[in-house]
Amino acid sequence: MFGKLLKHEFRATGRIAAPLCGMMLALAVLAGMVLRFWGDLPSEGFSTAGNAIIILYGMSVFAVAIGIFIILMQRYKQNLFSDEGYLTRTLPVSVHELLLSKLFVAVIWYLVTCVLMALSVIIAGGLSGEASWSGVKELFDTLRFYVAHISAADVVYVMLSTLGGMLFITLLFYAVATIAQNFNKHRLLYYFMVILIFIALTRLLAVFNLIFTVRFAGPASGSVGVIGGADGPTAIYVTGSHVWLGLIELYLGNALLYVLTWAFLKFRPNLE
Amino acid sequence: MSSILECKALQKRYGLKDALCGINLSLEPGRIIGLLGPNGSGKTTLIKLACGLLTPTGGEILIDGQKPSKETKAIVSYLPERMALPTWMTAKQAMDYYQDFYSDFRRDTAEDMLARLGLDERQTIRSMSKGMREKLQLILVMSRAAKLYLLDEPIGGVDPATRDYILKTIIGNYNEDAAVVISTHLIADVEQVLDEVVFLRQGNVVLHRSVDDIREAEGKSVDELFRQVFAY
Repeated sequence: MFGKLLKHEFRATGRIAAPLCGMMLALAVLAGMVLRFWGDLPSEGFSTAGNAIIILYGMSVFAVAIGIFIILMQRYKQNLFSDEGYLTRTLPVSVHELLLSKLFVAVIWYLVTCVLMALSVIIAGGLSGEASWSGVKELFDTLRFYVAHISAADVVYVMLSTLGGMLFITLLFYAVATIAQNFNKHRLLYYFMVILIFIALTRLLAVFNLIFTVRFAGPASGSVGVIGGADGPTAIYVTGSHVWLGLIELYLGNALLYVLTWAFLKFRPNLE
Repeated sequence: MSSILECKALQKRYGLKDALCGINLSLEPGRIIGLLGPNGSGKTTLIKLACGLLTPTGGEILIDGQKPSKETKAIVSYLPERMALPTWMTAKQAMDYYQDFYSDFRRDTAEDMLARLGLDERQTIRSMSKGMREKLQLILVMSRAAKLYLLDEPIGGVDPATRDYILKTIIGNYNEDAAVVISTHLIADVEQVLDEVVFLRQGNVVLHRSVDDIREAEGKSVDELFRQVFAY
């Protein structure tokens, strides 16, 4: 059943998300072509249209980044709490299957979107000509430089924190929407109240982390460094055991949000 | 015979208002049961509790001996009082959806009924008329060989011709070993198809009898008895 849920989840989200991504890639091609022939554009009208295409491409990247998130959150709410919920929540599947399928599809879409956004930049840059290609090559050289200076543990940390962050933002919305659903009146008000409570909790956690790091972990547990020099790229990095504490907290927070959402869906379905 | 739906002191409260006041009820398979009562009597609440869309405040509800769960959802075919199918789907995609999730879905039956309606399977639900959407939803629900059909107001808000179509579809397609529960306040229209009736008033079961028994003992139609019981 989990596979079938995934199939229908991809179908429902893909029908909006796929054209949005396709539009961004198409605009990347057009923007690349405009940049390539910028000096040879025959009239001012063409220049204006070219400008518009480049601006539209920039906006489409932004629209995809925001749009995917909105599509996924809207899907969650509509699929479980609107009229569609009468169908979804009478399917012979467990709440875990329902929730995990949505979470899995959300993470896949975030990753696909990131890859496609990077691809669109490469396409636009590639088509715009030799000068831009060298810019893209420079970008990869820079990335290689960074990669050469970081350890395997750092790569794992970055990957886990990226994944954890994606899960956190998604689960936060799921939990807020699910808890707020239990209030039959002034739902929007409770919606914002639940968000504020969660934000306050995360802030409190941040304060705790700061105190913990300063008081107990101390400077010996981690270090701050600089990559590169006068001729190369420069970055500041923070490593050490205390950064892993934040990661553990992030995943504990995710687990808590998941359990909350699951419990409310399971024990307080409330489709009145 | 064991009950397909059983309520034991079932209670549901919304805030301070009791929607169901500790009802006891037992329905057996192989019967078509009318769940009858005026608006706000608790019909929809009872059906939602049976589907696991609400949780009881007290008591319990059992479907084939089990509390509402993943397992009971596999044997219950539910028609909500509103359009639950995503409107962006085509009729074909809606059938795919049912086929994927319900092992008892009879695709041939559904396709046959859609063809008789003259409905193009590639048509999106959004582009269908209200009556056509309701027929599609009913066809999907009745194309399952379920053990319990829960039909919430299937004939509310439709024209008399559609009403006849809906009742014919119910009678012609339900699994005969199953129980069919039809919730409505339009008694005269459904009376002809019912085996037994349950009258609900303000969250209480005020009557549960067979239709034949009502006709023989009371010398009245169900509609007449309903008007008498619910007279203001």
